[in-house]
Amino acid sequence: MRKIWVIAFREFNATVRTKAFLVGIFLMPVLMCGSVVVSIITEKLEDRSSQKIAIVDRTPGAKIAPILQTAVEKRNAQDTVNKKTGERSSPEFKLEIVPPSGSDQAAVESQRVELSKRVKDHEIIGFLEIGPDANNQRATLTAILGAIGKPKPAAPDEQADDREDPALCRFQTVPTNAGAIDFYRWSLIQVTLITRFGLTNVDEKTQKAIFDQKPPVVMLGLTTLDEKGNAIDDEGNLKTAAQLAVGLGMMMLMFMMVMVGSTPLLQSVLEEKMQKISEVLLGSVQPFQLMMGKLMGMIGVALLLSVVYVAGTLFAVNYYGFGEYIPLTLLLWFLFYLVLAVIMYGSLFSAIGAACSDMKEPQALMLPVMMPIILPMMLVGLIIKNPDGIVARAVSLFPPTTPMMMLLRQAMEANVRPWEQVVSTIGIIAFTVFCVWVGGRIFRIGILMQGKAPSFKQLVQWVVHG
Amino acid sequence: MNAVELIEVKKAFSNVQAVKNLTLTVPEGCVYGFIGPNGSGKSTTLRMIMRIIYPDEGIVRVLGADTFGAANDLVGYLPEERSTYKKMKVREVLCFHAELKGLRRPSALVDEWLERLGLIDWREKKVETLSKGMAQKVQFISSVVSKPKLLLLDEPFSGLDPVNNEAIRKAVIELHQEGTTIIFSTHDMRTAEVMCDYIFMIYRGDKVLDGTLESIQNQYGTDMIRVRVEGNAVGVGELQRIRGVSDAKDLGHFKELRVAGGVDTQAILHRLCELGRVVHFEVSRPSLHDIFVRIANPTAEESDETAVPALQGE
Repeated sequence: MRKIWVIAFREFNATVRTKAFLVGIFLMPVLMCGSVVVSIITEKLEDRSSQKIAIVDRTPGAKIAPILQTAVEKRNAQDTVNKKTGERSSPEFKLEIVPPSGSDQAAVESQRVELSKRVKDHEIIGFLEIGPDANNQRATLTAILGAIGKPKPAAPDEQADDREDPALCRFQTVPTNAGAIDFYRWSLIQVTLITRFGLTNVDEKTQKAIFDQKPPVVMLGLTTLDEKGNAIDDEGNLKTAAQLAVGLGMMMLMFMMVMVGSTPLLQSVLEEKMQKISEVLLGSVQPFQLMMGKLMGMIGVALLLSVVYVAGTLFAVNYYGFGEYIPLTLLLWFLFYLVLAVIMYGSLFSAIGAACSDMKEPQALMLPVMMPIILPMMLVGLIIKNPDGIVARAVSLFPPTTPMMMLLRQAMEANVRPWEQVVSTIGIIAFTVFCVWVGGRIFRIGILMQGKAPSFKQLVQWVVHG
Repeated sequence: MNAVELIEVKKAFSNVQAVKNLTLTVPEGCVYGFIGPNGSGKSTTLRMIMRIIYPDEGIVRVLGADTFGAANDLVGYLPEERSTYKKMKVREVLCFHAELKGLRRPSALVDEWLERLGLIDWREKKVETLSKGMAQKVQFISSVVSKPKLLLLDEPFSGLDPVNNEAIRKAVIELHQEGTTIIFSTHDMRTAEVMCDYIFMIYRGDKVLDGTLESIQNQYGTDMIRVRVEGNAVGVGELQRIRGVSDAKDLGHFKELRVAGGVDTQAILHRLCELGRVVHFEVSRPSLHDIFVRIANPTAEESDETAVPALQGE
């Protein structure tokens, strides 16, 4: 047993103490969280200088533009400055009121071309064109409300369909300009307030009251009683989403660990065989000890990586107050399945490494072993849709796919019956022992075999006849 | 007690019979040399003793036990192909091997050996930075650091310069004096002659020689004559025509004659005197080198049936 530890320790050290590993361990989460980090950084670096927008008001008497102008001034004075720090939190808008061209199609379009050119030349970031009928929408609204329950009016003449809706306002810009998006959101609220509700000079509170109204119907989980007998509603959507995220995350992590661990294990066994290092080692240890030592080393690496990632995730999740969605029992199941998956696949991969004598040979033999690792990834969609369906239950009871699939079902709090839990647990333990036995027999013969890689049939013979 | 006993051992790889019915006894405390041409079964025999591979038939008894696995902590092994973890430091890799042999806290012992073979300054260097000779010495240390009772060395001297060769030879002799049984294979007949108590030759899987150097030479009798005729006047062709001479070789200043068994060497001297003025005439036993070549050279084997002695096929 001590010799297994000596090999495991060396294997672990050889993997962990490389630069590639250290870079990898930090790089992987960075890549995963990269988009978040980038968006935070770019937000900080965002341009806060004032942005100029052109307004073309085609309403009779051009009454909307001045109202917007007043609203912008108010916004610039109050909302764009962080009250605590006094720093500018979003850019100032500056409106340039452009007199509208003639109302015929050609004139309208030529004005749009002209303004678009000014956007391209960076004079303005965009332009808002207020449709001639924009201000009449209250009437339209009333008409719509009045029309409920009445027969639909006959369709207007076909030509009208092609025409632009005169009530429509258009904001035209280059979509990559972040300031323009801010303005679009702001103008959407303002123009709605003005044109649909006839409200000008609306304070923030009222605005909120209008736009932040709760939807009249919410979706919730089931009602249960807690220990004190109080009725409690499941959080429904939110919880399901969080559970799904946790399940998928753990599944991905396990997939990664198996891939990250198994492939180098195969390579290291094969390399040592090619360089005849294994012959020296076999002068001191039995083939099975050598294989187990390598497996233990890999388990060590996988556990280290998992602990780092899981701890990082737990910290982040608790920080944002979602800690309750990663229950301890689920974490323990994760570790249990992870160790078994690593042993299961690791022993098969190291056996393949031992059976080959050339870096190219393992490809063909790896395919049947890779299938059950990839299968859960392909079935994820199906399992999520129906975690208690026949497919989900079958693959979670099929030992090679049990670790990932059962974990996903457990995370989603699917209806895993007690007998399923027992059978799958016994199944995966038995299957892991079987894999180690098979791997050990192939390893023992393969590690000293030189020349062409064995066929699948030969491997079976090695296993059966020893 | 015997360190190693092989009893009627057979081993085949696919359809090649690597070792045929081999019986061999290595007494404890001796130095046993394995010789034989490439691919004749030396390494296979060593690996079977090491229990890295198992014989198809027969018994392999090492240090009195015939059923333990490869992991025998009392046996040290230096395989023919030298390789070790290149990315590890010299001392780390040696400690690793020592620990695999069951040693605890082996660093003091490792340092002692590094000092002994002049590698102490390299202990913190990675193996990949060492020269070939140094790497070979590191590997040698890895096989002896655990103070094995039996040491198997597969061609320990090949590819070494004279200085390193001498260093390893000295270490092997010292281990022998401390009581370690040593088995090594070699292609260098001089080394085998001077170092080994017993010599074993295997050829195409068969044992063809086994015994002390003297007993082997006695089998072949005194059938070599080294002559020098003044002025190099006599050619090899003429010598071969002398009655009783089965072969003649030109060594430059000397000619070497091989005579058939039971021939009167005086008669040959007589005939030589007739051919020219003889300045050197020496009757000797064949060297290990000569015996090796006679056995392993197929043309010699075919022309002279007596070259392979009766041991074959035993």
